[in-house]
Amino acid sequence: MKKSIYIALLKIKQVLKDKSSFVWMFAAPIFFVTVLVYGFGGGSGSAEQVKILIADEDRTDSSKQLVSWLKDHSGYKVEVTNESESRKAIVEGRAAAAVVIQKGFSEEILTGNGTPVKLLNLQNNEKIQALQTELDGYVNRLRIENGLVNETLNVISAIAPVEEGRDSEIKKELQRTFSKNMDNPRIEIESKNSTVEEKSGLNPMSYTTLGILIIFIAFFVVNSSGNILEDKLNGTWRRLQSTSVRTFEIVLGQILSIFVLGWIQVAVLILFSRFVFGVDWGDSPGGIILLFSAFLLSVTGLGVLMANLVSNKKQLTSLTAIVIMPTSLLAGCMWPRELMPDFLLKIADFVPQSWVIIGMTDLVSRGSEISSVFKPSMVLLIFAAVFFVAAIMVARGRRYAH
Amino acid sequence: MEIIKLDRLEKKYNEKTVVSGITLSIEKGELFGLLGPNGAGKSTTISMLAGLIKPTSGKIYVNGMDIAKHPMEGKKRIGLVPQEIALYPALSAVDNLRFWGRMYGLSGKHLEERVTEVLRIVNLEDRKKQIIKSYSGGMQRRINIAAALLHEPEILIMDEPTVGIDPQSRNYILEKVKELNARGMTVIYTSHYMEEVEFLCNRIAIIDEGKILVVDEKENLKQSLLDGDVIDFQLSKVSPELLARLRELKAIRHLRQKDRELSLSVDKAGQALPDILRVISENNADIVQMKVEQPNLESVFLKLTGKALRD
Repeated sequence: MKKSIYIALLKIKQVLKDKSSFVWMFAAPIFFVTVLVYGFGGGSGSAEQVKILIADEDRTDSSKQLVSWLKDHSGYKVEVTNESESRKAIVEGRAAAAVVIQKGFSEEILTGNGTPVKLLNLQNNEKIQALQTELDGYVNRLRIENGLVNETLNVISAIAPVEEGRDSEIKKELQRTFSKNMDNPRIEIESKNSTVEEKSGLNPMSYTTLGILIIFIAFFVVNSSGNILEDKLNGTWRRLQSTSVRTFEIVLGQILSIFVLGWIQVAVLILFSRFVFGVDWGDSPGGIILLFSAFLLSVTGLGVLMANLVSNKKQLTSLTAIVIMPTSLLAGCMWPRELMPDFLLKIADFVPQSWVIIGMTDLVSRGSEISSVFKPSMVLLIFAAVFFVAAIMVARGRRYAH
Repeated sequence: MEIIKLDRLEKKYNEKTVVSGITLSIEKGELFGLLGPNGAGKSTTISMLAGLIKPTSGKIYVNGMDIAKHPMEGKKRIGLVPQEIALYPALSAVDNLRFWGRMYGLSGKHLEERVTEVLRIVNLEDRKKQIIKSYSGGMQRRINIAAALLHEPEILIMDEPTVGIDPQSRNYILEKVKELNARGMTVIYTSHYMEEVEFLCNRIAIIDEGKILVVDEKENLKQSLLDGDVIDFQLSKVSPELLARLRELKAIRHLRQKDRELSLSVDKAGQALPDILRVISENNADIVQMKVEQPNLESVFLKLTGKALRD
């Protein structure tokens, strides 16, 4: 066992001494995350505000309140215009959507009937749906606010009859107080609109980053298994066997080194993306450790199996590309799994990468409960076991063939 | 005292026999040479002895112990210098030696002492921090040998340890091997450089196609094979009777036959030829070709194995 650790330490030292390892372990994935997240707007934040237009046909206090709320909203870049102008802009694709506040908006808010706000849009994506939901929410809040103001006014006048003429003054004062509270609520009430899908777990930025990390981790780990081939080729494997080390200790040391190197990569990438890019990985270090440990074991197993199928490192590199790229795509590393048809998702179940994505998604959406990664981790460990057993069988088969 | 004994050792890969029934014993303190062309089965024999591969049949005893039953007993006593530079090129010599020392179970102060000692033996103490990649071929070979000496083995097996190095390094290595042997280490040396084996070894086995052709003291081998002449014949036919009659001739010390080619070693060609020619004509064989030559160890080897040593 001690000898396995020495073997692992030596292998780790060897890899870390090689500067090019750093490129593949850290620099390349970080570069890709940067390009995909920021270059193509796959993430969130100020870099990718949705451009919307507002046409205020009502021009009342309530409608102005709505306009200013939208203007202050960090997710939207707002331009105020009229209805016909905004229609034109939408058709020409100059804006993603237009919010038309129709005449009679403030009355409708009072009565609570009809749809006082119209949303004009050609595309219908998540962001538009989100806008619709937020608008509905805000309008509801305006209705409640108005209702409250009127009720309060009734109560006040019942207690102490208000002087003639001061009515509207008090009403304005009340409205100001309520809307101030509305913008800075003392109690946060999280409401779920039934039209919005359940929280998908990972936001687009986390998802994109996760996909890229998985691909690079799989590449690096599988390629690291090539160290075994290198040892066999340069005779160090034979020399190890001639010392008093047992074969299983050699294999264990090799696997341990790949696992530790994989973890160095995972830890650096996860921490870097969290603290530099602000990627949301949920709040369960335990869950992440369990899930990624299982994932690393499964790809290590895959790597060892593949290293046994080829005869030199060059072949392994080619085979790695052939195996890792399509399986990662199938797992949904480059696009949301929700967009994939059911039969593809069924096939993707036979790919380890899928289970990290499933695990991470569950982990984040289920409030970082470690139990949510138990099943994906189990599946990954089964993958690992299958790969290792297959590797042993292939190795034995090859020994007889020689 | 017999330190190594190979008993009807055989190795087959699928149906191909690589080593077929080698029986050999080596005494403690011997400097034993194993000669043979590429593919003769030298490396396979050595690999079995060092416990790298398992024999198909037969037994190997190291210090009287069957290594199939006690593999670690064999490995503890044997230091293997592989044919290739089996070191980690990106690491320094001292890091490599420390690692290999640990693999032999050494640790702490003892490990450091042994590393220093083997570096001293191969005379590379002052360059120990250099990485292996930056070493010359000869220096790499020296560290390759040093790594096998770390655990103070009783038996040193060297598989072509001087391939591709400069004459100076080669001489240094040969001197060191002699020195180690003089201090009591048993050495098994394989090479296809005849002169190395001749310089180093007391006893030599010539091996080909998985079989031992001759094992003898170097001096005896020289006397029986190097003195005199070699007469090569190519005949129209070779019958068993002809071979039997030739073997009866006193002048013929050694006879080797391959198809219709005969190679006879004799004291003096001039004296032996009349009898040989008479036997051939009595057996109704025609001489297609005949050649008389003075043999050297190289040509003896060629005659014995039908192959050149260096191919």
